[in-house]
Amino acid sequence: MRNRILFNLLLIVSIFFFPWWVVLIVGALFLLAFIAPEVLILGLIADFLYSASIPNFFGFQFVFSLTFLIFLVTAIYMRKHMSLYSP
Amino acid sequence: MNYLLQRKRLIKRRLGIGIAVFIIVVVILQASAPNVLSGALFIVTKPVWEARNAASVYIKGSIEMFRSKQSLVRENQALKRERSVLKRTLLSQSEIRTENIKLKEMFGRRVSESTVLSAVLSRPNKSLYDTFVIGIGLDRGAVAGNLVLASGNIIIGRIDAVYRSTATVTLFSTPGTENAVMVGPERISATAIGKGGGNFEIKLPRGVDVSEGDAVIFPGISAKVFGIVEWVHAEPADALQTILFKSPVNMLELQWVEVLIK
Repeated sequence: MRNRILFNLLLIVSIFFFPWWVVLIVGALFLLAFIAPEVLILGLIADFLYSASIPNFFGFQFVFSLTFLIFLVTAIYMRKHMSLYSP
Repeated sequence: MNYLLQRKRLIKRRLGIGIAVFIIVVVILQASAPNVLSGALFIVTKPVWEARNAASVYIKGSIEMFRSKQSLVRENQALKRERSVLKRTLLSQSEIRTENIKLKEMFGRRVSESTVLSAVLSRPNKSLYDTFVIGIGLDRGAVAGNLVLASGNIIIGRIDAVYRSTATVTLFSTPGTENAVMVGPERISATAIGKGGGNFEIKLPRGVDVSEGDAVIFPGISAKVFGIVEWVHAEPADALQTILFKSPVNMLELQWVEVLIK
């Protein structure tokens, strides 16, 4: 529980103070360690803070959220199928 | 055992429902109001970023205390020399600017620009979208579409969304962004395509005379510097030449910008 709270705090600090790629790495590591749906809310926060309609993303303004969603679904799949996560 | 299995299924179902609801919320927000909560979030984050910037200035100042006296004296002398050169350059540019304004007025065009200085709260490298956040908003008269300048006359972006006391700025160099510019001493019209990080690309016919070091200007009654040409290349079989140019502003070191308030 304590580690999960620490990860949440680290992700929030990364969103405010570190480059975007650090945010994605921290999010990925968080989801490797825990199935943490709250990462989606933090992704939304990052999108609300920084997003704009740009041609690179075809005007889509929730790239962080979508990326964390993909990470979450991947993490769930990995937990189900990989021996790394078996008890 | 039955209880554990049921609990697992319940958690899975709730997770599935949660993800589905999240996707629906994102789709609705994207379609209707992508920045609906941004204003409220900036009320919290603006003081945090301002405190971070103040702490950064204090720490840099403290580190300077450990520099040797000799290196400080050398730097002081070099800065004094640079200052006297810049002072002379500024004086001559001021004369040229005044003459330019008078000539335009002779042809019935009045140039009146008003700028507001703003601190940069969050630099472009923080954002996946190549945007940055500045510390002025509706309270200082900024509106979406206002041009943003750095180092006086270098145009770097445009305000995308504006809130009560903050605004989000998109850089002209955001990958895929296209902007009309004028290149070189002949002021040839071209379309600059953003490549990210202050870099741009232009394609022009081979015969057009453009050299490294030429200025790229943002069109308007009062010409603003867009970038400086760094590389010109044409393949022998190609009818077009590729021109790469870069903004003279280092986006990673942006601390202050000016917003052109119309």
